[in-house]
Amino acid sequence: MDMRRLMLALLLLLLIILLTACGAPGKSRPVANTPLLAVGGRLAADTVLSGRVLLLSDLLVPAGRTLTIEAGTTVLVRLSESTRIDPEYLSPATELLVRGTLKVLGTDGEPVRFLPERLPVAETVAWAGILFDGSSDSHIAFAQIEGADTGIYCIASSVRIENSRLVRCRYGLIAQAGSAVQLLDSTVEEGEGGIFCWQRSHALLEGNIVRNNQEEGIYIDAGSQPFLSGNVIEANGIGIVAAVPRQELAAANRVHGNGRNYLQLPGIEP
Amino acid sequence: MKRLLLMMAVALLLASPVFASTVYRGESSLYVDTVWSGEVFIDGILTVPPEVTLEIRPGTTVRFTVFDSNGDGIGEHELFIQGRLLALGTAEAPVRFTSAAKDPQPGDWGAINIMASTERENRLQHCRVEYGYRGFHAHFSLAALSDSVFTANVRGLQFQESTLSILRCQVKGNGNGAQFRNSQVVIRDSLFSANHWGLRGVYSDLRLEGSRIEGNLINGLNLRMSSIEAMGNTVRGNRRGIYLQGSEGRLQGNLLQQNSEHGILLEDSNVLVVANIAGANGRSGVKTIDATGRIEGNDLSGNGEYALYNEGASPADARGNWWGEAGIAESVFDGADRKGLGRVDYRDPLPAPPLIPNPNRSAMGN
Repeated sequence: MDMRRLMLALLLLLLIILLTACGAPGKSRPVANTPLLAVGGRLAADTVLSGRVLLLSDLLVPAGRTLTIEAGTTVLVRLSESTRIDPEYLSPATELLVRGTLKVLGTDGEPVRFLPERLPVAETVAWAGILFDGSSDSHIAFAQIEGADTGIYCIASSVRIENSRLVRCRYGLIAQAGSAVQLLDSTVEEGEGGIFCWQRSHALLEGNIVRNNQEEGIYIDAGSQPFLSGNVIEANGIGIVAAVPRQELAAANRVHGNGRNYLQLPGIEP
Repeated sequence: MKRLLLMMAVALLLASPVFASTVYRGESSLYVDTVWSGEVFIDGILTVPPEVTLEIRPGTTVRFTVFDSNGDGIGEHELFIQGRLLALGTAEAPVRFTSAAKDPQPGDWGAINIMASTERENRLQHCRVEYGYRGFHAHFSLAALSDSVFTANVRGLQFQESTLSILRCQVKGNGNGAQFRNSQVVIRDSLFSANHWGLRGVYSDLRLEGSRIEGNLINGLNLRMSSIEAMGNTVRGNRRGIYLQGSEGRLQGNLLQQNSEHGILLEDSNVLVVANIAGANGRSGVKTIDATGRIEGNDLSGNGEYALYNEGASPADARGNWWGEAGIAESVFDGADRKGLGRVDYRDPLPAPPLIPNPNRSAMGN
C-alpha cells in the first residue's frame, strides 16, 4: 500500500514538473510568459531594459540620459489614442523620442524587436517610430522595427544603425536637418518609402538592401550629401531619386528591377 | 554716525532693483484690478480671478522662477487668468514674459494660462513670450494676439474651445508653433517658422491670410477634421507644406515651394485648390488620398517627382492646371501607374503658367 502511494506521489510530481515545463497551453516559448514591463513618460535616470517591454505611451529620453535595450528584448508598442489630438512631443502616435542617447544592443542570435501591440483598424502603421531629436552617439544594432510611421527618424542627430531591419513602416529611415546617419548592413523593406535624406543631411549608406518599397527606395534632396556604397536597391517604385548624377550611384551600388531605377531631381544635368 | 550709516544702507537697499520690483510668491491672487510696470517676479502661481483685470504696461518684464516638482521638464510657475489680461506693449517698449533663470531653457515656466475668459477680449500686443512650456495657453477664452513674438517655448501657442485672432505675430523656434482644437482662429500677416510643427489644429475653423509658414521640420500646417480658408500665404521649406485630413475649405493664391515632401497633401478632404503655385517641392506639388473637391487654375510644375500624386481609390479632378513643359501623363501618378488607384482628370490644361500675385507681401520678417 505504501509503495502504491509512493508511486502515485511520484507520478503526480512528474506530472507537475511536465506541466510547468510546457507552460500555458498553445504557448511553447518561455519568453511569452516572462513579465511585461510597462514604460512611458520621461526617463528620470539612465535605464536598461530587457525581456518583454510594453511601450504604454510616449517615452522621452531627455538630453543627458541614456536608454539601453539589451539583446533579446521585445518592445511591444501600444496604440495610444490619447496622443492623436494633442501630440506631446513630435507625433500624434506613440513614440520613443530620444534627445539623449539610445543604445540598442541586439545581436545576431538575439535581436531587439520593436513591434506594434496591434494594428489599428484599416491602417498599416500603429506607432510613430523611434525619433531622434538633437541626439548624438546613439547606436542601434540588430534591431527589427515594424509597423511604424517612420522606423527611425533623425532630426539634427547622429545615429549609427547596423544589421537591422526596418519593415512595413511608412518611411523606413528619415535623416533631416543636418543629421549624420550611418546605416550599415541593414534591410529597409515593404514600406511606402525606404530612406529619405532631407535638408543638408549626410548619410552613410553601406551594404544595405532597400527593396519592395511602394514608392522611393532612396530619396536624396539637393542639399544633402550622402555616401552610398554596396547597397542593393531593388523592386521599389523608384529605385533612387536624387540630385546626385546617376553615374556616381551606379558604380557603387546595384540598382535594378525597380519600376523606375533612377529619377534625377530637376535642375541637375543628367 | 552709526545711525546715519544705517539709514544710508537702508536707503540704498530700497533703491535697488530687487526691492523696486514686484514679487509674487507661492499661490497668490490679485483681488483688484492691477497695473504692472517695471520688473515683476512670479515665484509661484499667480491667479487673476474672474472680474479682475491685469494690465501690463509697455516695457514691463515678467520673470518666472524655475520650479519643476516632479522633474518632467515642465515648469509649474505660471500666470493663471480667469479675469482679463491686457498686456499692452509698444514696438519701442514691448512687454516681456520670460524665465528668471541665468541660463534659460524652454519649459522653465508654465504658461500665460487663460481659462474661461470670454466676457471681454484678452489682449497681448507687442509682447515677447519665451522659455515657457506653453507660451500662451487658453481654454474657453477670447483673445487677440498682435505684433508679438513667441519663441523658445516648448509650445508657442496652445488653445482649445477658444476664439483667437493672431495678427502680425512671429511664432518661431518653438518645439511646436501653434496647436489648437475646437477653436475659431483668424491668422493674418504672421510668421510661423523653425518649429517642429508649424501649426496643428483639430476640429477647428481657421482663416489664414498673408502669412508665412517656413522651415518647420514636420508639417507647415496640419489640420484634421477642420475647415480652412487659406489665401495669399507662403508655405516654404517645411517637410510637408499643408496637410489636411478629413477637412474642407479653400486654398487660394498661396505659394507652396521647396517643401521636402508635398506642397499640399489632401487626405479624405473636400477642398477647392485654386490659383496656387505648388512647385519645386521634393516629391509632389499635390498629393491626394481619397480627396474630393477641385484642383484648378494652379501652377503644378517643377516638382521633384510628380505634379499630382493620387494615392487613393477615388478619382481626382484636376482640370485646368498648368503642368509644365513636359508631358502631363509623366507628371501624374494615378491608376494608370498602379492598379487600384483612382485616375486623375487633367483635361483642359492651361497653355501657360497662370498669373498669380506674389503672396509674400507681409511685413513680418522681411
